[in-house]
Amino acid sequence: MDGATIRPDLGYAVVLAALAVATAVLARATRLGVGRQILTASARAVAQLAVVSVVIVAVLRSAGYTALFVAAMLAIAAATSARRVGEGRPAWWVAVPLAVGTAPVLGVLLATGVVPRAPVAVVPVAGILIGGAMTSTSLAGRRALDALEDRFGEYEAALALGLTSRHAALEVCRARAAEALLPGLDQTRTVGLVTLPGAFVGVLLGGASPVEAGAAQLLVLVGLLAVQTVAVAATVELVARRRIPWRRG
Amino acid sequence: MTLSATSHRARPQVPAVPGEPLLALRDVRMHFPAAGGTRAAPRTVKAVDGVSLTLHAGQTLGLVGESGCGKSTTARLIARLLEPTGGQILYRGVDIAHLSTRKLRPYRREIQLIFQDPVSSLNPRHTVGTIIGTALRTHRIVPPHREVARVQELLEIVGLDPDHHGRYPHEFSGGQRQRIGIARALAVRPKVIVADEPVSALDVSIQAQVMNLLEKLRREFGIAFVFIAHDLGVVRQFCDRVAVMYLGKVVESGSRDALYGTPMHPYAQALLSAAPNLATTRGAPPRARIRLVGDVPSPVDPPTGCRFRTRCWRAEDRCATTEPTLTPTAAGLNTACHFPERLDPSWLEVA
Repeated sequence: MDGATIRPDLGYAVVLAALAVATAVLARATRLGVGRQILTASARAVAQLAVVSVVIVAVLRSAGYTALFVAAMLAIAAATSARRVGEGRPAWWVAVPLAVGTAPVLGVLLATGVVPRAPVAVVPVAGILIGGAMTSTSLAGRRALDALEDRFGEYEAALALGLTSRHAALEVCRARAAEALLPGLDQTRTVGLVTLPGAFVGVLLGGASPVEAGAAQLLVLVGLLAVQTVAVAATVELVARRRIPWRRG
Repeated sequence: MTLSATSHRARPQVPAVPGEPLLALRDVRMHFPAAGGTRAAPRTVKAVDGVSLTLHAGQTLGLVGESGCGKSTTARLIARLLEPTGGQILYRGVDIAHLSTRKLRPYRREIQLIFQDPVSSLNPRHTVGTIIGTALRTHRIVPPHREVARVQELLEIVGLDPDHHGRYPHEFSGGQRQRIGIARALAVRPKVIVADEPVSALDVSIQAQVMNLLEKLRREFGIAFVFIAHDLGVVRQFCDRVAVMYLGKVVESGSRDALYGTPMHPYAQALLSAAPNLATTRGAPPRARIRLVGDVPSPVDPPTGCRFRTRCWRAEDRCATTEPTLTPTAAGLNTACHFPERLDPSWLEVA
């Protein structure tokens, strides 16, 4: 597979930097308002992957370090989501959907031995699942809060009719928050046709057969749907119960 | 169109103290936590700060004032969407200010809300039939097989085509959407409707139609209204009694004729007086020009004494130290002012 791997040489660095800068310039030119964020996110990615590349070898040698590494992933995902959802003051309750989404799925995969209980298998699968949970929690939380803001009158009307606060909020925000599941659903629906996601490519590059790569990918996709569904449901519930604070009312 | 009582499940009886008015607010306060406070010294927004109002069955009470004066918060307190931080909300003499969600349930049938913005209060994903049907189902007002028929009756009452119950809110015009909101409120057969600026978002030509509908509901069903508006003309047309609010307090209240005829509070006079340069064009002394200067002070830190004194042309030292209370000043009028004064009626150009 020598000729088919990506080499971090000078040309690579130039292309990568040019791509990031061009993207930021485009974002600024089109006034999307995220130009700076694209650059800082790219720079962070460089630094973080550099560090991870160094420590991953050590991590993968020890089950204890692996557990610690997964816990750190979860904590960082929670912090990221909490800030995205909370806007101003972090909504720390989002750690709950992340945990209740990821833990059972990862637990089942490991307990049944479908995913080998080896650090080299656990870390990437956990990473993908936690990452998916983080995206859908952030999106669902923001969408639920948006819906409650835009359609507060509807919430009040439902309250006035005698629905409980939780029920009235669910009526308003559930459908909107569920849209957070669409990217995951579409990714699963179009896999192989539009997307050849990371796990498949990674396993293939790692030297496994296409069928093995496909099996790994399938596990990730279905696991991801499970994780995201639980995370979205839990997020909606926390918003409806005002554990995740509303922007008004 | 008749509302046949036989088709309804027996209405849960809410307790009543004989001789008490339908609805009374006694010194109601709603203080929201504000940013910038500490645990030791919390800052609060005093959105409603000691409001007392009375509403009798079948009566209409207008609540007027600038935006931010606490009108809408008062509306939500009456409908118990908010739990007040102080005071009593008496429905037929029973305090409902702190009832639990479960104990409030029977009162949800008694008091309903109509909103300013019909768009944001109607679920765009539901048909009109479902929206109105939710109200019927929540309180099991009609048996399921009668639901559609009842929805159609309600649509007809509010002047919509009964066959349109399968349509979605976006298929209706603004005025029609407000009618849907009214039909939903009517579904539970309320005794009181709190209308929070129900026509402010509508075209002037549509406003009159919706007002006529509300007038019809009051006449035919004897529904009492708390009608909130900044348009003084609409309030005059519709309301028996009027209360003027400023910075979370009622500064003057009384019968419509008294308040529009001989307002005694300077703020009420200012609201009722027409264009800002009216006084100068009629050669009035500058002392009494009714042009309010400055902004409404912050409800986080309202002025001492009389809240209106910072914008009042009659203010004296006493106004900063002693808060005036509502006291009778003219026939059918109560005013919270140390210097109530009748104004030359020619200055009051009522909208």
